[in-house]
Amino acid sequence: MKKLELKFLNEEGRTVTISLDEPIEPADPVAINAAMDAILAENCFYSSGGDLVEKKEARIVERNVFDVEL
Amino acid sequence: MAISSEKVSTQLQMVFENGVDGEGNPTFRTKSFNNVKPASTPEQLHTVATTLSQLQQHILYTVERNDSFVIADL
Repeated sequence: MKKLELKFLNEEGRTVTISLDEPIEPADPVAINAAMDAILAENCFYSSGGDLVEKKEARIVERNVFDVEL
Repeated sequence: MAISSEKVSTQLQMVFENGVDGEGNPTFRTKSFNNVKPASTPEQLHTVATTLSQLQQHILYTVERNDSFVIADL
């Protein structure tokens, strides 16, 4: 299962992640940038370290699970 | 006796259509965001939800907002 992680910095400079399941691939940098800009502009999320103030990075993460025979 | 009601937290939920079940009825999956400011307006939440929905594969069915209030006797 893949996840899109949008990472922001808050007022304390710490990372805050907003993640979405099953992202569109390949990732569209323009659309992702626009969405992150919209989140910053609307400013409706908070964190323990204050508002989100800056885009940090965006990435698609995949988790692979292999069962181990016991 | 004065009862006060104060909004203490807000949750944003995006409900996605996530395929169909064995009888052809649509199934849904909900994605929740807990760190939403209680002062957020519906317009703000709608903008955020629709822009986020464009980054993933499913159809955004509804956008929901859950507000929690603490009710106290002052």
